[in-house]
Amino acid sequence: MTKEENIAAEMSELVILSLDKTITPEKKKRLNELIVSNPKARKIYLDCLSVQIGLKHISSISINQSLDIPPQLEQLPSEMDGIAYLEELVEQEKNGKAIEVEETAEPVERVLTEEECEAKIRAFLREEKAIDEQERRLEEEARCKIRRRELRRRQRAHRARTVAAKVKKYSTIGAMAAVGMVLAFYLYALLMPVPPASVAKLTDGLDIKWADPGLPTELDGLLGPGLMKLEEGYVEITFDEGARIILEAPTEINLEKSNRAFLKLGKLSADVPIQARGFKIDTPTASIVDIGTEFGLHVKEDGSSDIHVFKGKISLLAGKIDDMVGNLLNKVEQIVEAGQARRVIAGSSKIQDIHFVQTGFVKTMPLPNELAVRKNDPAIYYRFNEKEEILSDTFELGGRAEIVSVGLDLGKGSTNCALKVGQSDSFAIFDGPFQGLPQKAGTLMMWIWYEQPDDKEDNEFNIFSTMDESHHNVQSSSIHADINDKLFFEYVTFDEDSGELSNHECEIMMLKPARWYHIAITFDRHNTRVYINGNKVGEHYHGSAYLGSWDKIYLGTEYYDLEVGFISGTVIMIDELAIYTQPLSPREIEEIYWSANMK
Amino acid sequence: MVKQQSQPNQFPNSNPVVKQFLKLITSGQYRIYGYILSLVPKSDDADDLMQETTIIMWEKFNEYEEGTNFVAWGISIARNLIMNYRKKQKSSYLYLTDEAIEIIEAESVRYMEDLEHRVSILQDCIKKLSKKDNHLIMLRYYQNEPVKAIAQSFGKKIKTIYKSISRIQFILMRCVRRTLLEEGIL
Repeated sequence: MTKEENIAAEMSELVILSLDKTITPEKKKRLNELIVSNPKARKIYLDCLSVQIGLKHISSISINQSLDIPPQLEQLPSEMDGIAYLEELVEQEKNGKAIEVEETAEPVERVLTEEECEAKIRAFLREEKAIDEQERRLEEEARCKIRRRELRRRQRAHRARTVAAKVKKYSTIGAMAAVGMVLAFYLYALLMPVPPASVAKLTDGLDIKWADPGLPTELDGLLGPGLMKLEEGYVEITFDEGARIILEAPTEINLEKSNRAFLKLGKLSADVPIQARGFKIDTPTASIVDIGTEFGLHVKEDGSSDIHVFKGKISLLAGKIDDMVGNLLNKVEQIVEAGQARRVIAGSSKIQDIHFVQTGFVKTMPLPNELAVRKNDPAIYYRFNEKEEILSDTFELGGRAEIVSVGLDLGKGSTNCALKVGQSDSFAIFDGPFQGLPQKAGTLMMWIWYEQPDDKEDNEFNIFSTMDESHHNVQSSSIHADINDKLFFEYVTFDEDSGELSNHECEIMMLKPARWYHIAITFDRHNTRVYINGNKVGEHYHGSAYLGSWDKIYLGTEYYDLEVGFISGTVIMIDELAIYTQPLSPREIEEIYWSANMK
Repeated sequence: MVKQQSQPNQFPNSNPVVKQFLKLITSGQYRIYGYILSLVPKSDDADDLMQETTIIMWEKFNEYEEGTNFVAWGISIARNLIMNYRKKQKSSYLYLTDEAIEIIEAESVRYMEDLEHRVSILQDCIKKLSKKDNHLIMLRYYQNEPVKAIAQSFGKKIKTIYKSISRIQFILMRCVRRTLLEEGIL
């Protein structure tokens, strides 16, 4: 081994220990000595760091193995121990072999992992579906064109007949002139081009991708009747009469008139000012007439329609759309008011009450961090930027819990707010809706911030906890911290076979007060994992037992102790609370963290 | 269906300033982070400083003059933050002495200029690792497993795992160097 290689091997170790904060004072001294006295060592130091930066951002492409790690990892060979092996390898490399290459790692076609196979199948199915949809759309457009042409022909014929009928009353001399007029009118009607029936304008958008690339993607692009399919992104459309809608891809919509649209599939939120009152949206099963309001509408694949009214009220007509005339058959009418939600079941005129959710719809153009969270389709997502958002839902606020400004949102320059709890008995309890939420697998994610507690006797305070009241009447999980800034994750697992409940507690890491941290907890049938700032900091394997279910989430609040009850805490702020019905992957969590790193 | 296009324009909310900032920070973040890490060789602290740097860069983005060196501007902000951080910490908490910092700083800025290229070479080098080495790297860096947990799973001492990671880092470092030599960059 040359002197330089010796230094490289030594520096390599020093850098890794330093980055992990496990370096001893002696080795720290040695690191400084090498940097100060040896130019080659400095180069190597920077080389080591560049490798570390690359490894930190390692991509899945670089990993040539499946990501499924068995619970028991295969052991490293014994020759990997210690510096002896390091030296042996260095020796090998010196003799010309660049790097140890597995024979199987040749660029031959490799066997796909199960995950990749599934991804390929999904992509293939998506492609097939897209082709089918494209064909259907073309067919539908052709039908629409024929119908419109027929309609125009009838209108022209009708106008001509009307004029002709009137001129019959005139004298024979006048009749000749009248015939001329009729002919002129007929020719005019025949040759007159159909006016460009623009009914709305594109007033905002983000990452817009229409199925038809000819559709506008820029500000003030004019839009008219015809079925449009938004494949990706978000679009804000303002109708000529003033109603404003935001579409969230994938969506299929027909802007029929300046105050009327047909939503075939997907999600929209509508904001209808007073001057546009009477704005109407049809779906395959319902017709919504606005009475000065804000509402969200979701038409699902099966044709059922969910309506959530945020402000004002709407008139909801349920029934089946008549394909020929476009009117509703067998209709049932209801008035739906702010804070209420209804579902119109496909294939019937039945209207169901459903739980009102304020946050299920995009009401303003999303920011990059919001997009990253929404990409994975959260079941619940609270940004805490609007007071009404939490007040009109099922949040129960106690004490001095409030929405406070915490700086500027990236992009709009608007104020970014968070939920402030945990001080002087302030708390927030989220009491659902939990329908369809994970009970055995999922992700709970949020940003947290806390102040150093004044009262040193309060040695522990809760950041959040989930309660399982209806099943086992226990606090099923919690993240809490102590005065030494250590963060703990505590949770209960339930074994279905034995019926046993088990408590688990793990120390996650040290946190610093007055700093924002991103926390994510994922759980599935076998494992619970904790991530801080996109990095996994804890994992627990709990076999066939699973994490206890949730009836309520206590945010900030006081620490709940079974014997003492609630213990008051310190000032805690919570933001961007998201709950998913699936455990997100490490990569997805990292992406969400980095996308919001401007916080 | 009317497909009339207006004059090219911008959406009020897809703010061009944001887009410009994101574009610049995305292309420059490796270099700024590399600079920070070279002066604060502690992953957690360097991450925090990078976060703070990005926030300040965004807050002061109106002061940034278009066309000037964005990374150099970011580094100057990071430098102030690092100096403040060093002032606040006890000397025993700091890993590098003032002397070491002074010497390494200038070299670091120059070195980080081709960091993106080095990182892209590294991705290829990782693919060439043996299956076992790749497995270990995946556990430590892709899955973010702490060394302690890996050691427990492998039934090995923590020290042994550190040695193994250090060895792999050494192999990767050589692989990157060799490629740069072949490309005539070194």
